[in-house]
Amino acid sequence: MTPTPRPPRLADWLLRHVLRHSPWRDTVIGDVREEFAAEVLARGRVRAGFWYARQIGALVADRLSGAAPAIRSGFARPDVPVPPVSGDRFVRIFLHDLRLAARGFRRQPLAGGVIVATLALGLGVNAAIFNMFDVLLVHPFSIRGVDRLVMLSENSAEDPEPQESVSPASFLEWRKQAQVFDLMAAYDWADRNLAGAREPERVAGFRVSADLFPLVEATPALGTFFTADDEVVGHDRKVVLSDSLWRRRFASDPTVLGRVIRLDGEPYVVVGVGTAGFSFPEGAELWTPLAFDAKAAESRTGFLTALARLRPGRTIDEARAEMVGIYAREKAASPSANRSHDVRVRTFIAGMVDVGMPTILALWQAAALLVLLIAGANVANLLLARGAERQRELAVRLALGAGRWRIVRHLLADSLVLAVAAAPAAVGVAWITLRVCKAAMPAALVRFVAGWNNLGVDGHLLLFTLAAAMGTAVIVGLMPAARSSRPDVTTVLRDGGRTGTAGVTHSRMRRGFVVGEIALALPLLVASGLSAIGAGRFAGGPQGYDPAGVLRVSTVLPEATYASGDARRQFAERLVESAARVPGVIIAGTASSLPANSSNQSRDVELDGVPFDPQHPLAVNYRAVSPRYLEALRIPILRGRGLADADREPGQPVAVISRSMASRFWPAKDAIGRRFRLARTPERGWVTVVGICGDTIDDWFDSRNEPTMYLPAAQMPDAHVNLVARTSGDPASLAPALRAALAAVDPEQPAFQVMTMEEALRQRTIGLRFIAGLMAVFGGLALVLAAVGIYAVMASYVAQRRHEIGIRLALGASRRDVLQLLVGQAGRLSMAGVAIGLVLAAALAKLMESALFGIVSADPRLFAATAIALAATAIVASLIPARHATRVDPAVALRE
Amino acid sequence: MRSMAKATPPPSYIGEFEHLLLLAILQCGDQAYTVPIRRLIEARTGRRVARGALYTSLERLEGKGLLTSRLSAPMAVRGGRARRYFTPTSAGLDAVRAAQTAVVRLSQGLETLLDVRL
Repeated sequence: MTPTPRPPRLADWLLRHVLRHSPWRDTVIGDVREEFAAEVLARGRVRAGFWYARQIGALVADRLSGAAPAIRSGFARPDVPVPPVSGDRFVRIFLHDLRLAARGFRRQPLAGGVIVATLALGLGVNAAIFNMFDVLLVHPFSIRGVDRLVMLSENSAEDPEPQESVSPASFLEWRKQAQVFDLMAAYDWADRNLAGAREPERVAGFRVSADLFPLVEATPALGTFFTADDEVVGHDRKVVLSDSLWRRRFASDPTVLGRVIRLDGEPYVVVGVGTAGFSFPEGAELWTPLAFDAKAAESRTGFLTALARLRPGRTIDEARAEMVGIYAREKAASPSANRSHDVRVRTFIAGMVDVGMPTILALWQAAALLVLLIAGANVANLLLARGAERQRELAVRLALGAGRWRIVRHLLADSLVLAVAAAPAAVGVAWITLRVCKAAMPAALVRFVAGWNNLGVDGHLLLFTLAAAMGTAVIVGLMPAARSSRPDVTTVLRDGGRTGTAGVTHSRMRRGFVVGEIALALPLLVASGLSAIGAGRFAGGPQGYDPAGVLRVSTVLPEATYASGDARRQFAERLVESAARVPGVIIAGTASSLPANSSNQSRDVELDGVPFDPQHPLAVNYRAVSPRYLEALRIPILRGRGLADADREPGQPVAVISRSMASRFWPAKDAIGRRFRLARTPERGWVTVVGICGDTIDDWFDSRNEPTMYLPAAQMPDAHVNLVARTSGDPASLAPALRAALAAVDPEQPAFQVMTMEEALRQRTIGLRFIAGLMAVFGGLALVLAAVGIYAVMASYVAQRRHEIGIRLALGASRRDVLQLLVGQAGRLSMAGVAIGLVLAAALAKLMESALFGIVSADPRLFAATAIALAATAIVASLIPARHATRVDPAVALRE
Repeated sequence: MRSMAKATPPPSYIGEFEHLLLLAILQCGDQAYTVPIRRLIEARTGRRVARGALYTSLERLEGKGLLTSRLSAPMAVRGGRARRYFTPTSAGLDAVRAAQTAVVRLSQGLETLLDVRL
């Protein structure tokens, strides 16, 4: 016997739901099922599915229309008419209203089109931002069982960043003791130099404990992942490749397993390849085991990111309670544990998402909401205008006995029809917005934003758009509907709807909308101005150095091949010499960290004569530089001297410090000649300040003018070597020559981040420019919508007063008087809007100042300029209908 | 005195669709449940039968006492639901007869014009 085919689920559910009260329920369902089975045999599954859906559709229509009482409820008694059930009657009348409304808008396609477009814009940008919230914050990871994953951190209240905070000692202790988790794993950022037959490459990598893969439910495409045995030094020379790296560097070779490759100059055996698309942590292209020797295992320095999976049935609160207990015992037992640190347990997503992201998304959502409010005010205005035009029709209906509720419902149907029409257009707007956003983000940065690639139109977005459209329609339609349903019947009918009396409250409400629109547009414009100015200042303003004409090349010296300070020093010096020989290079220098870099180096310092407080260390940006580095970047020496070739004696360390460091640590005294030392390596001795240089902006989201010290790389050779070359021509064209210069020093060393300093700056400020760009779009939308709104109100205002204007003109008023009257009115509305808007703008500016880490500063001139611009727009928008009014022919207007 | 003949109730008046339904039920015999009834009417009359109308009319005929119905055992092919079989009552048969007679009588002499082909 063939199994009975199952009909489409949704349709089936709908049928059962619609028939739930009908005594014919089982018969009807049985019939449709039986015929469906026959259809499947005769015409196939797919066509039978369509057939089924059509049957259900017809039944639902019958049920809703009340055409077939049998499938509704109760037995129909013979000869006794079935009284209409009020629900059905409501639906029927409402459907009727909807049809009427749709017909009405078909008759006035322009007004309908403007309303639909306005709603679509407002809803579309909101849907796009909603999608960002949904995808980037709510479920940025497509890991099964992500709800059971937590992130553990070990940090102080001042440093809320949960990642890279856990020390090996803590991780190993927790893993041993915690009962609430069934898996715990840790990882550490470890990019690697990959050498081989082809040119060497810097590959994004991580050192991971063996349980990380099962924790995120990853399985290998080839070979295996790591086991606990690999977490032992000596057994850890194994590597798992990502699918992308395997394809790119190994030509998808299936025999890659067992092959030995060189990472950071050391041999590693390839044991596995990840599945296509698997890249956790975000951007990872290779993984090596996280192994600690006895000394490292006792380290209390936090640099690991720790994740754990709750046992089934256990809660995050239980995990918190257990972890707090473990950590308290740990602190009591270990004198070296940091007293100011606490253990924290967060959800995986809360821990993974960038701490700044929610604020920025909230800012965008606020801006998008303002746009929607302005759009809503516009639509309400247009509906009100429609209501005003239809006053006579409504008055007749009321006079004939239509209930007020009935009229309100009729008018609400108007806005619902518009919402249903606007929803698909809004999805289109959201799609375009998201496409543009995705295209604007450089691929190199996408790896830092989990879930970015998943942005796009999805089921949640569709639901949101539909719900928002309905909600907006009801809210926007309610006020005008309630207002229009209450015309003064006798006045309207007697005067043919021409007198102003019935329209007084009406136009008061419409003027209120205009004031509201201006009041909402102003803060939005101020906000977009603020972020544009902030972004401009950071991307194009003075950086404290001159990025123009400079090319940068990075490389990292691995421990295996450059173990000694001498080797690293020689490498850096030879690299500078090699680069300086390249034709077109004027000055070359190196630094262990550059401005506009994705990472920073900092060291705790101990000042001579000030007792060191390990709980509150003084952190200072650290740069180990070649003698001509400051010159190459044109960072000015303000006092004292720069670094010189002679500063190489390990016994007499010297430093040039930034002005901010001098003023912070030695505010009252001359910093030159003062001494400090690096708290972690006091054996290197006291460093003497020999010069003070200008401040630089290193990163847009750090506060500016961070204290920075420049120490001679000859005295403090560093593994990170970043070459900067000031060139006489186009710096980008020298990229191949500088790569060759690096290869000439050591062909195994990969060159990465080879780009001009201007490009590096551009990439570093992309987030800020992104925020500013989106805010500018919102501001522009707000301005256009507000202008359209004012124009529409003034136009219909003028149209309603044609008669009166005709009288004025006939009685001797000049056209100038009329123009003044109308523009003056618009001016007063704008002033009221601007006054309210300035208060809102001040509040929003405060929010932005905190959200954007001091990048924006509320400037009264910006407020003033925006207010004037907005008021001017409003007046210009009112000029067109006003000028139109002055051309009224009194004779014609009076006869109307 | 004229004895009053016992008044037999006149056959119920039935509408056209009800007429068709009763005929179809008779045609189907002991297989007269909703699916073949609907199919038969659609096949023989060439017109589409809306489900809602079908169930509503059957319900009305049953309510008028012209039909009785009984349920079969639940069937897998119907998703575990029973079939509902219909049988005309004697009043139902009378009603069909009356309607048929009316049609036949009214058609007499119009054979050429109507040119009914079966």
